[in-house]
Amino acid sequence: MTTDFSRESVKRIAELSRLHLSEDEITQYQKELAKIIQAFNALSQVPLPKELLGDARSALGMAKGIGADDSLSRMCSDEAKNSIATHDFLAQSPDREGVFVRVPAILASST
Amino acid sequence: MSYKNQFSSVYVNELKEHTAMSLVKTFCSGERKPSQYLEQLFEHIERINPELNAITSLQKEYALLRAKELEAKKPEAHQMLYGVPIVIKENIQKVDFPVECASKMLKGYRGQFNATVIESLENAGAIIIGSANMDEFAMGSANEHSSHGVVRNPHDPKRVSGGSSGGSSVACAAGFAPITLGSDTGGSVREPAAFCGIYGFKPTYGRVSRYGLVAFGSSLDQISPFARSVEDLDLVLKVIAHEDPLDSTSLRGCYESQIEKYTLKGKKIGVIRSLLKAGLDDNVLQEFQSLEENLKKYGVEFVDIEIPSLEHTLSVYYVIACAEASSNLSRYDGIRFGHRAEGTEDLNDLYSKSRSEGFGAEVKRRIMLGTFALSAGYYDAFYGRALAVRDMMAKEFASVFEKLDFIYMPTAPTSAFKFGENSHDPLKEYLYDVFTIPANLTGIPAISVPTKVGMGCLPVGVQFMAAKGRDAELIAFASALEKTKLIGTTALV
Repeated sequence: MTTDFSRESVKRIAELSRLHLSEDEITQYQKELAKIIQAFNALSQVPLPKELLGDARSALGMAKGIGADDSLSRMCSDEAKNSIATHDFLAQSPDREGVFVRVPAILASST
Repeated sequence: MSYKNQFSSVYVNELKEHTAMSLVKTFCSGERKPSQYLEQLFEHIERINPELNAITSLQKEYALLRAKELEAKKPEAHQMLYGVPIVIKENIQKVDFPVECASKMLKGYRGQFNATVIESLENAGAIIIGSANMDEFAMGSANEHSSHGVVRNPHDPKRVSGGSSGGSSVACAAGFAPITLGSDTGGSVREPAAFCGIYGFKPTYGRVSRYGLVAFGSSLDQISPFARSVEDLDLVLKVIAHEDPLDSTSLRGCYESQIEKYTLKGKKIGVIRSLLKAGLDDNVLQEFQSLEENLKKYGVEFVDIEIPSLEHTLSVYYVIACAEASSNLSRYDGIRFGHRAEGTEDLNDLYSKSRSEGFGAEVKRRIMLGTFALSAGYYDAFYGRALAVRDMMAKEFASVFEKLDFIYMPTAPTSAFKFGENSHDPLKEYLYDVFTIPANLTGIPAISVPTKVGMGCLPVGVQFMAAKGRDAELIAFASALEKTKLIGTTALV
């Protein structure tokens, strides 16, 4: 698994994580992530009981089915209750204008 | 009275007078007023907190106002925590209290609503006096990853408090409040409780509402209390451990104390001997074995057991916790709240720079680990496999509990270590959670109790676990154990 952690892989994971890394950080995380993933690699070799074989989605489904518990995961009625005033929410935004959250221009300028 | 330990005080050494139980009695009888008690308590906190760095925001004005409000009316029967000061971890929402999660990302963020536990505590007459330091977004085992700086252990300030609820743990151990709240995702309450010589209890997943707790690993997180006596844990659980329609994973029913009618005799406890072989410090092993021997004299039977899937504890936990964290923390994007970077070029740049500036190194590491585990090509090998092994583990535990009352384990492999000893190697730090994580992965309740260490020795915690939903039995067992005086809060002498 260590080989999977090229600088490019770290950059790609950072991109997916919406994180901007400096060159030094890339070097550091490359080493650390490789070491951690290597330590966790045994997981992918664990023999599983038949009913749990298959892809992760079916494993997830099975795990949920087996662990079903009457007292868990009930649904709530979908009612809007505006218990917090708009201005209280807005008070925490980094920038605002009237009842809006103000953001910088989000599209790159066309060239 | 003077003590050798500079952090010592009447609050921790005259333990019985300063438990929540006795404070409620004193306040209700009119012998003393909550506001008078608070005035003195604040002096104590302001004297020693600057060095320990446990409390990040002491809400004196609010607390005194609240005390006066309580005093204006007669105590009511349901106010089981009448006048009791309580400190909360700063990842729990309370209106107008800072909810910064020890992160630059949430600097200046204040609570907008009350978490369900806060509503319950305040209905019961408790006074929330402040919020406590923690590891950033609850990620860490030593409280060394905090934007507020490290938390120091009152037993030896050169040593860590444990984490991630280090601030809440030290606040309780140093006498700032008889009961404090933390959150336990992989041992974040039990491990600091062990390091600070107090009690920390992680309830069954769903027993205490998570509504208003800032999410880290949603299938593992549980708001959990610290206390200096088991009676106080029992008391606070009567208040906060109940069903909550606002949390869809909340369990039906409520905590029903069994403390009154419990005996140790005839209880069967499992020990996983293979876990004790590697990496355990001598003092921890010695305390562990000594309590076991002493308990046998009370008619407790110990049985050797094996839970094979425990071999994968760390891998399963860090894959699942990081995957959930990477998803939960995607909400911090610099748009609606939290830190926003300046001078960005486009939307992606705004997200990435805001997040990179706002999150600390450990949080970034875990987000990337989680993103990797969930990415195409690795999802099945890591995340899917981790879910399946977690399920196997839950079944193995359930089958063990068919024949046993409890499982006995150390809480952590060592006592509190010195600053910097493990923080440079993430894997080494992760190993500190190996005994506490299984309870989170399988959803079962677990308590860390302080053993009776020799005078001047560092605290050692040991852990008992019970089957899902048997929180009250576990607390009753710990209470019976406390009465034998084989365990008890480690004094700051």
